Amino acid sequence: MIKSIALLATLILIVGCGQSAPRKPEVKEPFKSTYQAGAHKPYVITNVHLLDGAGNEYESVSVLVSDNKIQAVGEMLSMEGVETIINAEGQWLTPGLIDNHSHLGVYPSPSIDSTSDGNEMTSPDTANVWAEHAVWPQDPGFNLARAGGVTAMQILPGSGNLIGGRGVSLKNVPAMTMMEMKFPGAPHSLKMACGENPKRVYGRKGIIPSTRMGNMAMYRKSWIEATEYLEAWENYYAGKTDDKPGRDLRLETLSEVLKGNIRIHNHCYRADEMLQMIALSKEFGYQIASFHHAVESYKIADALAQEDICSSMWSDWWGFKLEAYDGIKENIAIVEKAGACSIVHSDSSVGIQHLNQDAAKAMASGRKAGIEISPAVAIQWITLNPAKSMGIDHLTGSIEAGKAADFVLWDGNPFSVYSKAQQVFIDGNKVYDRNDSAFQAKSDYELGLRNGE
Amino acid sequence: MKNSYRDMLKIWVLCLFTAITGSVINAQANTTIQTLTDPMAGKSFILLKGAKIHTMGQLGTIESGDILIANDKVQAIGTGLDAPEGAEIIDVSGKEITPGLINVSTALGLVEIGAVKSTVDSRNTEKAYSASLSIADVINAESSLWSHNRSNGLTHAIVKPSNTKSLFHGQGTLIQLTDSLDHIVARDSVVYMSYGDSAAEKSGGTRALALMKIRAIFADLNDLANAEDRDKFKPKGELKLRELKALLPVLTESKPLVVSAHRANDILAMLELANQYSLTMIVSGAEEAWKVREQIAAAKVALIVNPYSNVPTKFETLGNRIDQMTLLQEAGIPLMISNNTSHNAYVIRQIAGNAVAYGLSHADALASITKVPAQWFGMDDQYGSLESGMVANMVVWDGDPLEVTTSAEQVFINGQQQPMTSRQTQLRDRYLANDGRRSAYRH
Repeated sequence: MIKSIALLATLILIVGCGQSAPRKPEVKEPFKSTYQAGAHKPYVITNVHLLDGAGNEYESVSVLVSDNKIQAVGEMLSMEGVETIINAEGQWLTPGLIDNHSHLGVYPSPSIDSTSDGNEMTSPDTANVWAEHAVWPQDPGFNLARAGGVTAMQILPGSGNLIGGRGVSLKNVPAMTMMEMKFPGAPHSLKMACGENPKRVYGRKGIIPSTRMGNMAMYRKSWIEATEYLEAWENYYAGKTDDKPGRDLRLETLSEVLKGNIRIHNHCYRADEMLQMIALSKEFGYQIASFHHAVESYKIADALAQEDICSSMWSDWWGFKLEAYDGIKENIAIVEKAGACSIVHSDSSVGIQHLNQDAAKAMASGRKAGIEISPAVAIQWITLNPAKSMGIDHLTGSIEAGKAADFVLWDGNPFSVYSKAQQVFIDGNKVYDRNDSAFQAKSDYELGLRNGE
Repeated sequence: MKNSYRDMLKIWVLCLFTAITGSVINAQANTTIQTLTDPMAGKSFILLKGAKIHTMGQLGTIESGDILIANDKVQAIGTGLDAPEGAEIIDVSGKEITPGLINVSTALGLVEIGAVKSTVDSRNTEKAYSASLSIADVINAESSLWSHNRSNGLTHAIVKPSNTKSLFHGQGTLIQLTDSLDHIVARDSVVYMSYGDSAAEKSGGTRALALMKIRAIFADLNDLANAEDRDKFKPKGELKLRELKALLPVLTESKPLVVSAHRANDILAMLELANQYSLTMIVSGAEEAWKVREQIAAAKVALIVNPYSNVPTKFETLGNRIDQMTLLQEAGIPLMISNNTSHNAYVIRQIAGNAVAYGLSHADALASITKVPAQWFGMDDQYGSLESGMVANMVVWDGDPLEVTTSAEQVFINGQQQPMTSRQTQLRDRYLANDGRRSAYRH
């Protein structure tokens, strides 16, 4: 009898809930960016050789910058109210370089146990962890990367886990906190990893996954949980239930992926595994933004073009493990030729300083194999295309009117080993100058230690 | 460097007569030459015409010149050379020629896939066998890394072992990246030792003990050299007699000793050792060498560096800087570049290019990956530069050899034109072919 009354009461509650008004989801933005672009006077860069990142090359052109933005690109610009003219004759201008695969700050210098913060290898799915919480802004690698022309980068967790956690996009400005670097308006990413790493890490611990079967079973388990979690919250917000689901950071991240708010960056070497990951994404209804370390993309370039998935690649790394054995120097050019989104990434505190050289090598390897790649296209591998993969291509990545004034002035063709970034600008403000120590930031770590200073 | 060791090395130099791949020599013409008892009779000739030649030798850089290869040797270098009868003539106008690249720190032939232990023979974890460990007979010239590096311009390399527990790593061997199994050029021609962080870790956690051990070993070595009966010698230090004997030529024959050291005062400690025992020492790593460059120059010690890897990842490499080669060269220190990797050992030329971007002269940068390695590993009378009488090891490039957009077009080792194919080019061609067939049915 008591049971029946309880059941009746529950039923009334449920029915009652079904009729209640939809609830407005709370929008939270914890650890919000505190980055603020500084004010500057308008200026024009003239007579510059421009690779604009939008696919164009101009041998001599002018670029008008004001209010932190590119205002115009052209031969005859109206310079009303512009006091500063930078005559960049003989120099080249490119968008600021962007690396969508960096561990600066989370695996900083010095590289020691106490700074090794990029891989929470205690559970195969750590979608609850955020790389940004481990970014150490004093990493001297940020300064070295800036001298190489890098204005933005995506900091990812490592690849030991199937689902490694959230990545964050940063502007490469000297800063005291991660939030001061955080790219305003950039979506979060989620790092996933295929293949050898997760199965090795957890296989050694004697827990699933120890095989590629286990890898796939565990991704699916997580996405099933995420689907249910999302449904529970949707029911709650739709007013179908008054039971407010418990908040779970891991499932919150995964459900934001399913909602299209967080972008998947998937470490995946082998062609067959990439195709399986695409099938997995279709099973659960999410889009993969980019495969990373995609050394076999050349084998499935047509499929990647069709699925609109970027490949983030090295110019020539190969052979350090079996899944990297089929890496070839023409990978990037072949992916480009197929019309798929090609990206040069670094995954390295050294490589990030020379993204232009990596792009140059990949371009030359393509040409040698009969794939004609223009510099105007190759520059997109390290500017607009990574920006696209990070969901910030409407803000940066090319030198076009309305975009952020993130750019690099080079002392020559950026695809030459002899050329160096001379000046680097973020939102119109100079952040690096090779000839002016006032614009060569040093981190606290470097003071009194580096170079006998 | 003392001559005795160099002479010993020469014995190992293979100057094989090898027919030139792809060249067609008219048999009748050959016969005619022989009847005239021409000194050039019976030789195979290749004439490379019209390239910019970086000889790295006395002729310097020739803006447009010819190289005549006779069998395995450079016969002549100059302008407007005449082709001997039957010579294969290759037009290389617009190209640039350098000696073959030499990477002095690799595990070529000892590693196929880094993370697959069964394919890695470079990493020794047994402490008892250290200085004596020879990897010469296990170098696998059929490794896929071989043809990949060769077709990208690497013709020679030093292959070395490592030891995770001992201060001494064993013996390095100079190899040529030929397509046959005649790859050993100088067997066990250099010994490796470590100092700095890694040595401290192997020695009770402190450099102090590492240095004590090293000094004791060299004192033993000195006593061993002077011992009446070396077989009865009783070492006081850590190395057993077998290991000491393997190390002995470092003291008695000026066999090169490569020591890894990074911090400035670590390098100074090694210089002291070099001076005390008159060693032919090469310091590798040497990130802070620029701080003690005068002392290094005075000690006549050479360096193996990689300034491209300029990140201060360790406290012992805080002084790491991308322009360090310029400072070291100005001090007069012999410099070699190595990236300490095998899969892309040829990438040393990109590092050399970057050194030029940061102030080093083009010629000095190129010397650090050709001539200087040949000098310091006792081979410069054969290798490392292009001059009449030198072994014909060279690369024809489609542009500036230090530029990242440049590729190797032809590679010659011992005068033989090498195949430019590799597992990588096969993979490339398979997937570039779009003939409607499944990839596994394309060749």
